[in-house]
Amino acid sequence: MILAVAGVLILVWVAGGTATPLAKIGDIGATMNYAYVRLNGTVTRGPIYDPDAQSIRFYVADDTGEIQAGAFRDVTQELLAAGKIPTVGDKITMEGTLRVRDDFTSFNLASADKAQIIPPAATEIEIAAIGYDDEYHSVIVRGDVRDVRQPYQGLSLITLGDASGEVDVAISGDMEKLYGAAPSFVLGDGVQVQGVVTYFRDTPQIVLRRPGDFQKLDVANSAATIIPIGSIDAARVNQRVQIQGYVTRVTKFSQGVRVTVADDSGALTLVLWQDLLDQIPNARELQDGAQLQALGQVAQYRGELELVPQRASDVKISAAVAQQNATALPNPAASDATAAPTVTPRPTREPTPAPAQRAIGALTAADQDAWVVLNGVITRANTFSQGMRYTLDDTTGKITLLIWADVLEKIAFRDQLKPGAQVRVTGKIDVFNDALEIIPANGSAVELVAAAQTSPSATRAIGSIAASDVDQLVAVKGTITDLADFSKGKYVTLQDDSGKIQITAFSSVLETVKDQLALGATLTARGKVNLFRGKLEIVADELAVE
Amino acid sequence: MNTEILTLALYALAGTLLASLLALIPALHVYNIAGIFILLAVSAQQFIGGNELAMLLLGMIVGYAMLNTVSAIFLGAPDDSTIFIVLPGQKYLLMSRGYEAAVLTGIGGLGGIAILIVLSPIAATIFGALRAIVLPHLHWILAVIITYMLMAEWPKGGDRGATGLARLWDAWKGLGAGILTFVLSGLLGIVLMYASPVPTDRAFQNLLPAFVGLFAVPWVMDNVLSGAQIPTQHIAKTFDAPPSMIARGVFSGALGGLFAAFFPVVTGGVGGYLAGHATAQRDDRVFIISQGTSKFLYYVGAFWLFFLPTARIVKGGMSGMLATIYTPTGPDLYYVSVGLIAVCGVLSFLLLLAYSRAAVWLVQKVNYRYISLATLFLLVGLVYFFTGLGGLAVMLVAIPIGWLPVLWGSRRMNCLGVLLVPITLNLAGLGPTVAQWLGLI
Repeated sequence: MILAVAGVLILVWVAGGTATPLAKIGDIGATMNYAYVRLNGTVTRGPIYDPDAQSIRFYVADDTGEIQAGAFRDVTQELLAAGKIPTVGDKITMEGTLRVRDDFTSFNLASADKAQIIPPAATEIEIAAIGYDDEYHSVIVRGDVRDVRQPYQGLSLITLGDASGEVDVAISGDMEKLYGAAPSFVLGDGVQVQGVVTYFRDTPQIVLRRPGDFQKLDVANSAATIIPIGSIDAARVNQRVQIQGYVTRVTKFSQGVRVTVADDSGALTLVLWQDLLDQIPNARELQDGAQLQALGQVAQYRGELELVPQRASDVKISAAVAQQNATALPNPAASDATAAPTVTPRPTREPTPAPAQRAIGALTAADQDAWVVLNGVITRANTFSQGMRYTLDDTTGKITLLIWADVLEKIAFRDQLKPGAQVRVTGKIDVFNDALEIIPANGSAVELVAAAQTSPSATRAIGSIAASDVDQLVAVKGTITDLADFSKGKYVTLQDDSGKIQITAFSSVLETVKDQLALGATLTARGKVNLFRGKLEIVADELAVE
Repeated sequence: MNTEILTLALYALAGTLLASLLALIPALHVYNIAGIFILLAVSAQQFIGGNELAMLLLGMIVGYAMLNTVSAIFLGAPDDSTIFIVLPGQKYLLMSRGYEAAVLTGIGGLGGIAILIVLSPIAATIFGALRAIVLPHLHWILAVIITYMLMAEWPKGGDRGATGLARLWDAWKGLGAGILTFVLSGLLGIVLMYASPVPTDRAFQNLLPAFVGLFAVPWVMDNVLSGAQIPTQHIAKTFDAPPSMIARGVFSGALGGLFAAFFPVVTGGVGGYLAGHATAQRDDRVFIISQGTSKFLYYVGAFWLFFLPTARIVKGGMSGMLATIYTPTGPDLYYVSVGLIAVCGVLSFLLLLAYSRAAVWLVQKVNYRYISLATLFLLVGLVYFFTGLGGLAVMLVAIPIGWLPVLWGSRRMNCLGVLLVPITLNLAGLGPTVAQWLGLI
C-alpha cells in the first residue's frame, strides 16, 4: 500500500515538473493519438463559433503544417469570459490533446489558461501593395466601399477601393455572432479597415477580426480625388485614378465601347466592357458632349493609355451638353432603363430577311454576321462569367451556341438546356478565336425541340455505387455533409446510411438550388458517375433540395 | 468482388489463427500485438491494404475474445474483461471442471455472435440514435457507474470481530483498499492523460504500461509466488447447461457486453458486472456463460460498431488504433465483416475446445511458474518496445496499485479508475482543472 501511494505521488511530482512536449504540426501522426502536447503557430482561419454546441474552432499553422483546433463547452465559456478568442492572424501557444483519425486530425484545447495569444500588430498599407509577404499579417487600409455581396449565409464580402486598387474585406457571420454586427455603411462611404490578410485562390483579402476594426471615415477617401487627365502618364499604369471630363467620341467595338474623355488638360480613352456597360442605368446618355466622371485602372494598350473602370458605379454620366450631331450608343440592354427621355434620334432597324435553316457543317467564316437557324443537340454545357457556352451538334458539324446571361434569364426552360437536349436556335453567326459561334438575340430565339434524356428517377444507395458504374447515370439522395467551392461550381459531399460520395456541381446546375444548399440539407442529385483522382464522384445534371 | 471477399476472409482467418497462438501466452493482450501491426502500417504504408488490415485485426479480436478464456481460467491471467470469469472459472478449475468452464464461456461467445448477426441489419439505426441521445449525458452516467461500483461493495464483513474496532477494520479494510485502488488508479490515469512519461509519438499506447502493471503483472507474480497446485482436470463430454440457462446467460451477457461495446470507457468487466447485477443471475453456469457473451460482445462488438455505415462508432482499443489510419466505407464491407465475425467466431470456438484440452495437459505437465516467469519477461519487453523507459516507469507505479486488490481482497475492477476517473472528469469539463490542481499542466 505504501509503495502504491508513494509511487503515484512520486509520479505526480515528477510529471508535474516536466514541461509539456512541443509538437510540430507536420510531425503529428497516427501514433500520437491522444497525446497531450503544446503547439506554437499562427491562427490561419477562424474563429468558427457554434453557440448551440458551445464550441469554437480555429485553424493553426506552423512552418510544417496546419491543424484544426477546437474548444468545447467549459473551455469555450472560459475563452469567451477571458476575451481570449483565437482569431486569424493571432500568434498562439496552446496546450491540449491531439485526436488523430484516418481522415482528420484535430487538437482539443485543454483550457483557456493554456492558450497564450498575441494579436498581430497592424501596419498601414496601400491596397495594391498587399502581397504574399503580408499573409496573416494585420494591415490597415483606407478606401471607399465599392461593392457588397454575400456569397453564402455567414460571409459578407465588401470590396474596398483606394487609389491603388481594390480588395475584398471578409466579414464572417461567426465574428458577428461573437462580437456583434459591423458598423453600417453605404456604397461609396469612405472607411478604414484593420484586418488580417489571407488568400483566397491566389487573391488577397482582408479578414475583419473585430467589428470595431471597421470604421467609417468622415471624409471621402483619397481614391475619390479627381485628377487632371493630362497628368495621367505611363507612370500611373496599374494605378486607380478618377477623372472628370466630357465625351468627345464614342466608338463601339466587339466587346464594348471606347469613349474618349477630355478635360482642359488633355484627353484619355475610357474602355467600357459590354457587361459593365449593360449595368450603367443611363448608358444611353453616353454620347458626344456628355459629362462623365469615371474611376478606373490605368492601362496601356498598344502604346496608348486608357482607363478601365471595373464596376458600373465607377462611371457617372450626366446628360449631354450638346445634343446636336450626337451619336447615340446602340445599347439594347439598356433600352428599358428608366433614363430621362432625350431627343437623341434612335437608329432605325433595317428590315431583314427571315433567317434560313442551315446545316452546321456548311457554315464558314464567310457567314459571319449572317442570321441563321440551326437545329441540333447540345453535347456540352459550360458556364462563363457572362452566360453559357453550349456545343451544338447536328451530325454535320459542331458550333458554339453562346447565350448571354441576360438572354438566358429570359429562357423559361433554361434548366433543360443540358447535354442531350435538342434545340432550334435563331441567331447571328460570329467568329471568336477562329471558331464559329451562334448568338441568339433574345430568349424566344431558342426553342426546345426535345428535352434531354432524364436521369434515373429511382435513387440508389450511395454505398452501392462502384467503379463499375463509371459513366452511368445514377440518382442518389442524402444529407449534405460538406460544401466546398471550386472555380466553376461546388463540391457537395452527400451521405446516406450506406456511405458518402462527392457531387461535382457546375454553376449552371447549381443555379436552381444555390440558395438552398446548406449543411444538413437533404439533396437528390442525378448525374453521371465519374472517377476523379481515384475517387468516385457524380457529376450532377440535376439537383433538388428538399 | 468474390475474390476480394475471399482475400479478406483469408486475412481474417489468419488473424484468428494468430490470436489463437497469442491466447496461449497468459496476460498477453491482443491490443499489444495489434499495436505492432498499426506501427508497421504507419511506417510502411504499403505493406498491407486498409481493408485487409482491418479484417486481419477483426480476425485477431474475434480469436482473442473467444480464446483468452483459456489463459484466464487455466493460467489465472485475466485482463480487464475477464476479471469476473477468473473467480468462478478457478472455482471450477479447483473442482477439476476447468474444461467445462471454458466451454461454457465459449458457448456464451457463440451467443454473442448470434446477437451481432441478429442486430446487424438494424444496428446503424439503433446505435446511431443511441449515441445522439447519450453523448450529452456521458459524464453523469459515468459518475453514476463509478458510484455504483464503489457502493456495491458495501457492506462487506464487519459482523464477526471481537471488538468494535476489529469489526470496523474488518468492514472497512476491503472497502478502503478498493477505494484507495480506485483513487490511485484514477490519479495514475490523470497523469497519463496530461503529463504522460510515455513519449508523445507513442501516445496511442499510453495506457499499455498501466494496464500491464495493474492487471497482468500482479497476477503473473502472484502465480509465481503462490505456486498453487491444480488438481487433475476432467474432460467432460457434455456440458451441464440446459437451453433456458444458456438463453438467460446470453441475454444477461448481451446487455453488459453491448453496453460496454457502445458506451465510452466502460470495459467488458464493468459491463458484465452491471448486467449481472441488473439481471440478478446467481447460478455459476449462467454467470460464466454471461461473462463469455459479455466479453465477446465487448471486444468484437466494439470493433463491429466501427464498420457500421454512417454511424461509425470508434470505441475500444482496436478501433481507436485503427481509426487513426483507416476509415471503413460502405455497407458491403460491413456485412462482410459480420459474416467474417461469424466464421472466425465458430473457428475460434472449435479452437477453444482444442486449446482447453491442451491447457488441461499443460497445467499438469509444465511448471506453471516457468510459464508465468516467461510471460513476465515478455510483458516487460513489450512495454519497453512500445513505450520506452517512461512506460516502464508507469508500469512500476501501476504494479503496487494492481497488487492492492490481490492483497486486500478487494475488487480488481477498481483498477479501472485509470480510465474512468480521467475520462469522467474530462467529460464533465473538470479534467484540466484537476490536472492543474495536481500541478501537471
